[in-house]
Amino acid sequence: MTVSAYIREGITSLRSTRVRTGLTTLGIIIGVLSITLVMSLGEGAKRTIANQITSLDKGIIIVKPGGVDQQAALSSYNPFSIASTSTLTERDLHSINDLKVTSAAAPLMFINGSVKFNNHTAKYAPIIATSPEFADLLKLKLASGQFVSNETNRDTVVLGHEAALDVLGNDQVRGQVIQVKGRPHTVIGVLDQTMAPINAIGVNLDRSAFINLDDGKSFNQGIAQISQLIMRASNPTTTSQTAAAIDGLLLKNHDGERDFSVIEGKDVAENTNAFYNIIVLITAAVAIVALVVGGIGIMNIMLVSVTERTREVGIRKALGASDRHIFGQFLIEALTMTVVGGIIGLLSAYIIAFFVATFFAFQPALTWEIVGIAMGLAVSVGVIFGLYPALKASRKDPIDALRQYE
Amino acid sequence: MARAKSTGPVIKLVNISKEYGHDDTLMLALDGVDLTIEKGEFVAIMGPSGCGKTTLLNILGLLDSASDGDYELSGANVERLSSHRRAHIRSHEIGFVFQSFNLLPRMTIIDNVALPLTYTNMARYKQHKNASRLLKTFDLQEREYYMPTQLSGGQLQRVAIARALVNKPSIILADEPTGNLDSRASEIIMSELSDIHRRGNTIIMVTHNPDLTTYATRIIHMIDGKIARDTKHPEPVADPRKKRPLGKTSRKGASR
Repeated sequence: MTVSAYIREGITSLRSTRVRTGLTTLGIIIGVLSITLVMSLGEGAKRTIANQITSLDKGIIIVKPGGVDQQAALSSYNPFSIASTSTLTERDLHSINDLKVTSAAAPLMFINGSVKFNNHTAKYAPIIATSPEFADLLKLKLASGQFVSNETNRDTVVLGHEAALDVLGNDQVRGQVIQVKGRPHTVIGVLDQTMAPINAIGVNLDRSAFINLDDGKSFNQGIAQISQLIMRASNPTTTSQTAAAIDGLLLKNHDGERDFSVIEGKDVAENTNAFYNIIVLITAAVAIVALVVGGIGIMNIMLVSVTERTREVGIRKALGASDRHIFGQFLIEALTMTVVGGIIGLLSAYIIAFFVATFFAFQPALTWEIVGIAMGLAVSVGVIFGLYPALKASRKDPIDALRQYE
Repeated sequence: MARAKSTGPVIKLVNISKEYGHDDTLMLALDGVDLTIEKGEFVAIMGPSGCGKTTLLNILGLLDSASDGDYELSGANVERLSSHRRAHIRSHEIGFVFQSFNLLPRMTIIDNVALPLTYTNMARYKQHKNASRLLKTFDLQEREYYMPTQLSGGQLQRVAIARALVNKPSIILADEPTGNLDSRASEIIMSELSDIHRRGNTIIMVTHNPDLTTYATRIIHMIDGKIARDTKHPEPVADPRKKRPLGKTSRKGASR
């Protein structure tokens, strides 16, 4: 008996109990739908973030205070670290610059304060004191004006795109005077929208206000509280060696105390990927529970079907069906339900995913891996939960089976 | 299965016994049955309820296996075969006709007739061609795509006989083939079986109805799991049509 004959018989039999088949298949549809949805959205988010981070350039090196190990570098980032004394100093900045293996390092100092205009405070606007190199390192583009530079006045500020819209209502705001931590600052430039809410330095640049490092120091009794140092290796192919050299240099500066960490751009991306993989895996594991419940539904209905069709099994055996034929028939019937459910679930998941994605800044991932995993799981559920009913049907004694309802 | 061994008997049972239950509940359904059936015989097995005639038929049809004894079908011993092998023989050598027709209700008439062929790896169009040809000989070609619920009892049994013939079996086993039919439909079914017999097929039929034995060439009476009497028909009905109250022309009307 050919597989196509089995499938044809399976479909005939399933069509004769449409409502039951539909409801049973619904369990599989929901299971496959949730798994596919989680994986495609998770993978899409991961990709978008990874793209934003890697777009920064693989040659980038970030030094952070605190001796966090690299695996936890991203997840352990604490925005309240500005409240504690940073372990990075201007001396570190100068010694890195003196090493001449990187581009000029840009310091990042977070100022605890508000950005105001006419008593309207910008929401979630971090104030970042930095050097002119920062814009080059992060490839920031200006919508208008200029970035902070060594020539500019201390009381000047550059606004991120969203911060400008928030505090002043539009992005053509050069020359406007706003309050930064209570002191009047003249807006000298507005950044282009970066569309990258998550990036290697862990700050939403679109909402930030940038001031000169000297200006920042003046808010902190002249001391630089450096939260990050960002630089790019002069030779991107030897980023790891450069990072190691910086690590050695800083270790010497800090008297052998590893109270800082040196992170390469690629590590940031890898850590983020690992982090997202874990989240996707956990959610997918929960979604698999839905599929297993669907599988139990299949088994349940197939067992009912086997009992109802005992006589059919007897007739088929009398007419020449072997145990294997009967086994194949019932297994393929279960598989038909899970495969059809899998396909419908997969398609619905992508329709929902693309709809959901319109509310977020990323596209759901459509990969063969996800299709393969979802369909593979559907088929496995069909086999695992179809096995026992099929075995039960195939082992029926033809004489007893024929006697049923006689 | 070599079907060419037509020289010997088609069925040879030697000392076949069948027991059910254990110890105190032990019941002997067949008790040392010896039986040889030649090709082309029309055997009617009769006897009271519980005499073992259906058990015998099940053993002949390889649906059941004997507790003891040997069974040769077309010259080959089939008693000690695997269940897979027995199924293979059923699909190639044996045709079943049941009292309650046993058509699959979800399938069309033609699919029901072709069902035994699905287990023989025959191409689907050939299965349908064979089934269609057989249905034509039973004047049912117009009912090919009907569902079983749309046919009368007599028609259903004719479909069932067509199904039993579709794999060109060596033996046809019929268990009370007219048990669920009225007398007119019974006549028609019996004359169909008689026709099939005259075309050279071997038929073994279990029945309660002594009237039906007039179609048979041999009558076996069973009592308590043993063959009590085995008589070749002294005067086989030369033309069973003579017994038929309705002519062939009115068959369709009668079967409705």
